[in-house]
Amino acid sequence: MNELHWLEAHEAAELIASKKLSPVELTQSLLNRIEKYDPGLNAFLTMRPEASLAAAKEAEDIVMRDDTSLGPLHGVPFALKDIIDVSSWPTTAHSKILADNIAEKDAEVSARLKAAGAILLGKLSTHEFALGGPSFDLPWPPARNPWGREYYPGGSSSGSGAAVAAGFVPIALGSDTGGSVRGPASMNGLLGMKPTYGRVSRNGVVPLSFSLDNVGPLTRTVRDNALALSIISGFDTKDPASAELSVPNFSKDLDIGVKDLRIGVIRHFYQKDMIAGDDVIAAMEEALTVLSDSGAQIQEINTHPLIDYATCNRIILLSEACAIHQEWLTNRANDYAESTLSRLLPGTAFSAVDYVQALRTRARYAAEFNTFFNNFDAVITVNNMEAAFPIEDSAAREKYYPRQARAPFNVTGNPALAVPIGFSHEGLPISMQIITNQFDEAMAYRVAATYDKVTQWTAKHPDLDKTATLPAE
Amino acid sequence: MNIRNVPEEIKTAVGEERASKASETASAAAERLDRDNFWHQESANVYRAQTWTEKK
Repeated sequence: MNELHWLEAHEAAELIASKKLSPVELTQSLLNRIEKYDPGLNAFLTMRPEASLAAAKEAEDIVMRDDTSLGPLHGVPFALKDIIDVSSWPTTAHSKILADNIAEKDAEVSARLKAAGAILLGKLSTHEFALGGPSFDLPWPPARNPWGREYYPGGSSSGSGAAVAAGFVPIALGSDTGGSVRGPASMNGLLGMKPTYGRVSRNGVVPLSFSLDNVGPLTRTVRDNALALSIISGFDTKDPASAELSVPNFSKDLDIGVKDLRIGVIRHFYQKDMIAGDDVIAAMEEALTVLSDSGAQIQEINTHPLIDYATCNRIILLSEACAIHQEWLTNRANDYAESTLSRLLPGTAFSAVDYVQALRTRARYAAEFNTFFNNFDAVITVNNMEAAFPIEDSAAREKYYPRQARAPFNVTGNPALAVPIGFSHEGLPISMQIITNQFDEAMAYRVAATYDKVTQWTAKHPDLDKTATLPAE
Repeated sequence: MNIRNVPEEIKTAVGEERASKASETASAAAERLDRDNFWHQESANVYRAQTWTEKK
């Protein structure tokens, strides 16, 4: 058997269902790994090992009774960004402001994962309110990158990325408002899906921006990502934006290849609007060659400049965020991290007309972008312009933090999947995005699976003894 | 450039320096926004009437 911490979720579920693996053994193994390595990575904010083991024991008892109605993640551990509610657990949003907040009910996504039989290991580090960070002036330290603990792990779902890449859990959920699932996926060498807006319920998730927020999974493999998305997707009456659509089998096309698929590539995002690092540009071209060699037809396409999408995203995001934070900004300003305050505050200054104009621009951009799918099955572009930067280097943070191409797809609402495409010269992961038509996440997984079958980037894992241990005192 | 100002009560809470920087950032972003919309272009709100009440 593979090392337990690198087991894929679907493999673990199959082994558990066939009584070849005990959920208790798996859970204990991952808890031991977290205990050993998380002091160097800070992925977890809250854990309840006894409760996790009790749930694993219950899962084991169900298997041993030969119950035939096991869920697709029966006995498989997972973890949640700490903006997602779990009944009786704290939801802090990594903020002093919510330090004492205890959730009364499960978020819809938490309930769906529990119903699938999954075992919660804990709540994960995030940028404060999914916005600020990485911050060193909060009650908890920021998460670090398992590929090198001196590096930033991406954000805002920092702990989700770090926990999955470190082999602490095979599945974690994050949220994505301007790229916060795909950023950590990029910097940790993971799959990260921002689903179509409306695909996954946000009920019970601390909001950042109502019209841009999405919940999505981070995993080490394509198949696990498709599985996780299938579990958390679906109509929810408690989310006003929830789409009343059936959930397809996102894994159904993973093995059929990309022959004759038409794939558009947006090069100007990373070769003109911003100039990506040499490693990233070279890896993007290699990825396109792999897909072309696999039978896809690649054609360059052009859309609005990256800064136009980013500006539209920023005005909507911050205006909506400040509607949520206005009272705290007035009464508890000193309880925010400095980076959160500096990002939030411009949102208090936009006019109502600015906000509505940005919403009008968004509607136009989304309509225009979606016409690509009359002629293309998928669109590919870069994710981050560089690999991770040193987390404690404030100048690098200022310079590199905004250098990404994720916000356009929060603006348009399309599904966007982060896919590893190799490593920088420092040995840090880099990533592309596969974007597809509204509610066609299955196509993104199909393209990603074909690509990964050739390149096998997802088979590589960090050696935590070398990359994640605390320096000797 | 039209200047966007942080509301007075928030300026008082966060201080002049932070408010001034936020005002600069917001003003630049508002100036940069692509507003080239046709007069009848509607916005992307979730404004369908069925979303205003709890779904059954």
